[in-house]
Amino acid sequence: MPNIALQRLSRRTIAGLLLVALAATALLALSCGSLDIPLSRIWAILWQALGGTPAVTPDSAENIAILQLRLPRLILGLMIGGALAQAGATMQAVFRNPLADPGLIGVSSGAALAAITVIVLGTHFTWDFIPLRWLLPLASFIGGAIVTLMVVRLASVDGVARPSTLLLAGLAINAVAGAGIGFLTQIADASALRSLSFWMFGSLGKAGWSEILAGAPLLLAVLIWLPREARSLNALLLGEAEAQHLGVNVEQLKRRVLFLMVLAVGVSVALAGIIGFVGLIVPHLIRLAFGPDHRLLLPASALLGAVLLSLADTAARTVLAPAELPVGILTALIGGPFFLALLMRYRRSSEVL
Amino acid sequence: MSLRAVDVSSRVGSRTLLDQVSLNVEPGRVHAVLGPNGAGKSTLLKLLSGEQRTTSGQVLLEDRNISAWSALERARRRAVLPQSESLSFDFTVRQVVSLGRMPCQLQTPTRENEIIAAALEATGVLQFDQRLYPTLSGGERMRVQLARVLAQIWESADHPRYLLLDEPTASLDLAHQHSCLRLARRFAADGTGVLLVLHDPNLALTYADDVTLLCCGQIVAQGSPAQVLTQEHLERVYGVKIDILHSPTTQKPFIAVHS
Repeated sequence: MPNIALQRLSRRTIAGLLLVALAATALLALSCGSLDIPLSRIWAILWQALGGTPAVTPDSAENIAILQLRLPRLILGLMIGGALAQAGATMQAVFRNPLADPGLIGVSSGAALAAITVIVLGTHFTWDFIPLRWLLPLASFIGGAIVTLMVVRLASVDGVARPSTLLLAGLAINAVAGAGIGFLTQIADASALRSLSFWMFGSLGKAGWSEILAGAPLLLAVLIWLPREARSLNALLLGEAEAQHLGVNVEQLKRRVLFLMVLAVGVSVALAGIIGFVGLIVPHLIRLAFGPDHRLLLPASALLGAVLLSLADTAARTVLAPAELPVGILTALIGGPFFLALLMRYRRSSEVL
Repeated sequence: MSLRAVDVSSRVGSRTLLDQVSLNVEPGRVHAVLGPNGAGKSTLLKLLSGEQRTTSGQVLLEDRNISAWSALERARRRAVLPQSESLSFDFTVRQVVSLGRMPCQLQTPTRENEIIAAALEATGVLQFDQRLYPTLSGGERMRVQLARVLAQIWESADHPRYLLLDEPTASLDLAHQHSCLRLARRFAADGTGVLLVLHDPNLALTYADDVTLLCCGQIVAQGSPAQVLTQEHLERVYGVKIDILHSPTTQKPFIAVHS
């Protein structure tokens, strides 16, 4: 049930609360780690990097930790968290089911299989016609797109996706992708193997400025574009025929938003591997608090997704410090029980299950 | 000016759902479509709304093929109440009804609120406009959907409007069945062309100006209620024995089925 009191909060208040949370998360992420850096030092370092008064030597550990490690990681975490949350909300609208999620349905593992194939085959061939940092997102996008097309075809009967078919299709696709990845591990060499575990569990540990340069424009495009479809997605929740009757060109809408969804998931997987459940948990929490209106749901999900993934990442690299836990393990640890709780809630609803 | 089906047929595989059916929905009139289950009533409504394409024949909205209109232009001219709904997201009643305003030329926020409130009021759901849609009963949901559909064509425009209702009375109690059809009449009086898919011939006798009786995808009879809903037609189509009686108070005819 949405909380009525929360729904009465004005949009401005909601946006304000989420932005404060975002700022707090950002400071926490920059400050915490194997080297704790106080806030005053963070300001000084950022100010210096922007051309302000020199405060630290450029090659000091603190300076490098902030500018070369934590800041790019933070930026990537915020964008991937936001994009995955919006991708989840979009998928739930297209399939008109609050349990749909790009991870559960196999879009993420399809994307990961494609990326891993490029990595493993890359040790046998050279891909010099296109740099790897462009090739990986492209491969992930294609992998994710193939899975999405398959699932849409498979699960839709007369324009209605049957939830059980959807989840079972996801099960099968995840199994096949898992087998494919398992096969590739057998033929991979040692260096490729290390990056395979990165893809299986998801981590922001590879984040650097060159990753941001490749991925950020695409993720930003998705984050800005999807909320523009909010009104049409609201109509789509009533049903495809109903949306059509309300003047929405449903086929074009679905093509557009699924493209953006796959783009978000593909780029995220290429940069950070499979990070599950963000797209399931975040939109659900926002709906619970503020209702299902996409004009609020999409931007709010982006903000909360950004906050949650960055918090999870900060936790993932501090709990076992100096070792690092893949953040995907953490999100699965939270997301798995959350999904079971959702199943409990919806088990009597014939429309959802 | 009207919404017309001209010799429309609809075939799926080797099955013929509708065979050369013609029908006119005219502004200011209520046209009821009756027939047994599987007669093709809903298919006809889907063709008229532009949701499905005809196999042959054409549907004309203001003398222009329905598929030549953009989805938005169509949505400003006709609203459709489908037979079944499913919405598992927690929209409030008011939110569902305001979705009906989506295709409309936006008015001032005050006017928009007035329209939505008036539509909620018209179907008697204003008093629970903050309740969550999934918590409503079947009949309540139907009335909310009806309010949404009415909100879509609430305001008169410089072009005719059409209202297509697929079994609007199916899940309603006796009183709400009649208030729903009175609403349809009110819209007709206001110049809207109304098409109703109905099961109860008595409701058609009371509220329709024109009736089309369908069976197995073909028209059995078409015309005024008195011409179409005769003992002979109904017995042939439904395969039951009926009597046409007259109300002792109003002298209006009504139809009774022998048990």
